[in-house]
Amino acid sequence: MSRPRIVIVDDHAIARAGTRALLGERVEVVAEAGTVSEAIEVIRDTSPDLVLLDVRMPAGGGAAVMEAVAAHGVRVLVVSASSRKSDVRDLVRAGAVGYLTKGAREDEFADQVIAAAAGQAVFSREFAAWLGELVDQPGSDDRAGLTARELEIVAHVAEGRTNKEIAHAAGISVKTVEAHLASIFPKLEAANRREVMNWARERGMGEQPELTDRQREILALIARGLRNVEIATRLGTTTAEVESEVRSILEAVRALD
Amino acid sequence: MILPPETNVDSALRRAALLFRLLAVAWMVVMVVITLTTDPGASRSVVLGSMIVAIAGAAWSTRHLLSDRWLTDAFLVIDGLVALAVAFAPQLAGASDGFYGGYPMSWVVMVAVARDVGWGLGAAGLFSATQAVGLFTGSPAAPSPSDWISLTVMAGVVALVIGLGAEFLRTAEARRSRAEEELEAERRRHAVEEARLAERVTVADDLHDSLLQTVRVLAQHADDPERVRGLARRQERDLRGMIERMQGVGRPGAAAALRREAADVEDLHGVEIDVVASGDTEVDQSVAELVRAAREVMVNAARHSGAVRVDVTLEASAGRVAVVVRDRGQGFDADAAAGHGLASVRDRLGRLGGKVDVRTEPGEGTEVELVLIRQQT
Repeated sequence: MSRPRIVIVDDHAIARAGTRALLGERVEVVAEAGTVSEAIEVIRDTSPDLVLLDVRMPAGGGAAVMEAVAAHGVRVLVVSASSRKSDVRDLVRAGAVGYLTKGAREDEFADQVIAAAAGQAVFSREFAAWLGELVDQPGSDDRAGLTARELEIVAHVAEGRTNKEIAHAAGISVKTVEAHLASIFPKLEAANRREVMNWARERGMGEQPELTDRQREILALIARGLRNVEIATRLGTTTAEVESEVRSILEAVRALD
Repeated sequence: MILPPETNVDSALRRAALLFRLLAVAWMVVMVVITLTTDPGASRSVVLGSMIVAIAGAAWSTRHLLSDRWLTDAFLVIDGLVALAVAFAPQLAGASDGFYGGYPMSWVVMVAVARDVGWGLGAAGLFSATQAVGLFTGSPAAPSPSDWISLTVMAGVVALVIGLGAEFLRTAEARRSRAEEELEAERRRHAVEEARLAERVTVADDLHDSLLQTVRVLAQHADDPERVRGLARRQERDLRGMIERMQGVGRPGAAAALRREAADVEDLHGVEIDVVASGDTEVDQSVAELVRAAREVMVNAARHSGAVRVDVTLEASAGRVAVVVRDRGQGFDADAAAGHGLASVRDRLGRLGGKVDVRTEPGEGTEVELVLIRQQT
């Protein structure tokens, strides 16, 4: 089998060198890029099997690169030290095939990159743990200064209810619902209900990814640090089955809007 | 009705409307008794019937008002039909005077509270219309023209006062809660600003004491790779700790406590320990005990497994807290595991009503799962 062709995108030269060293001879690094525009250019020129993409970079960051290359069907694996969940989630939604934490588990890094280049979804332990949390405990402590009552109303809005329905469900008058919304909008800097809805859904109110029990179990085992082959043994199934489940989990996360 | 300031205006208004309704129906009962004893011309069945309808209507609306659902349009319409029928009953009974007491007016109040002034005035108009009918048919139960005018004006004024009052109270409540929250937000901003300043000073101190010193020592020991590696590893952990503090993840909690123990074991035994948390929880007594037990397991893994890295996972959800310690070392024969320090760990968890699961085979690595089951709160 020929070596997978990789592009490394990171704004720090030392980080690029470190990544290259970790990958060793098992992959072919066809190009490196240190800026967003450079990255878009080399990815178009080289059409690699996989792009290793840093999240935080000047001029738009990983998201900008992702946006520019996603349409070309290039596989992108997010490699980042950032643990900001919203960043990661946006990139996964934009089409990234997985997320690895920079600097952790260096012994497995090359294996995972090769797996991703071959079309697998790969999750770091952190990412799996976070997805597990998302499924397990919706909601967030980021309340944007909303009161408990306002949060309750936002949750109703996220479910797509009208003011009248909310009034009925919450046992208050439509006028009071309107008064609450008048104070909710500026707090969320929302211009309309749609934006309130988006805010709520980003925080796990309303929809959550629909995962099967088996998929939850797999996420928990990835978070514990098991490799796919070990998960297969534990669950009495095949590695291919586990890989396919992991891809389905990624699809479920992407399907959130 | 005097209300504590934190009472929700809507529920207060609803209670006020309920009180009015009960007074109205009591008043009507008194009027009915007077009519029955002093007005032989009134049809007893219609008088009693309308009273029964009114009492049933009041009971039904009381139940509705005491539940936590808001007053729907359907409720107001049904309540209105009852009120208007009661208002019309004296004419139907051929009574010489009205005996509906305050019942129709309590519906006007209900509408003004639930909707607004406009709808309240509409309700007042309908009530007035039932009496106007009597005026034209010449029913003795109907008010005189001048009484009718004052009755109509009074109903209108009630709708106006109650409707505007409700509006005012609601706006005031919204404004008050907004003002309170703005004040609260201002206070928080202030606190955050101060914390940020303090944090910056701490970071500067940390950089000076930690990174700068390490770099100096590294330069002195450039020819001793083992020493340099050790220093680099310790420095990495220091920096990670600083970054986590700056990102605010170093909050007090089970994850932070576990990370502290892991860092300590790492220092003592020179094994990399990678901690990942799925969920977090407050450190109460039993969680503290769980973390101490986890430390023991980490030490075992570091000393006996021969693995270069130990993966530690905190799994915290509403009903369960678990710590999983995994290594890819040499494993052991689980049936003969007494010598591996697991007995004391089992004791600890046993006292907390938890359990310990061990998965291991010689050559297969080890996974120890420490589980606490918690009562749902």
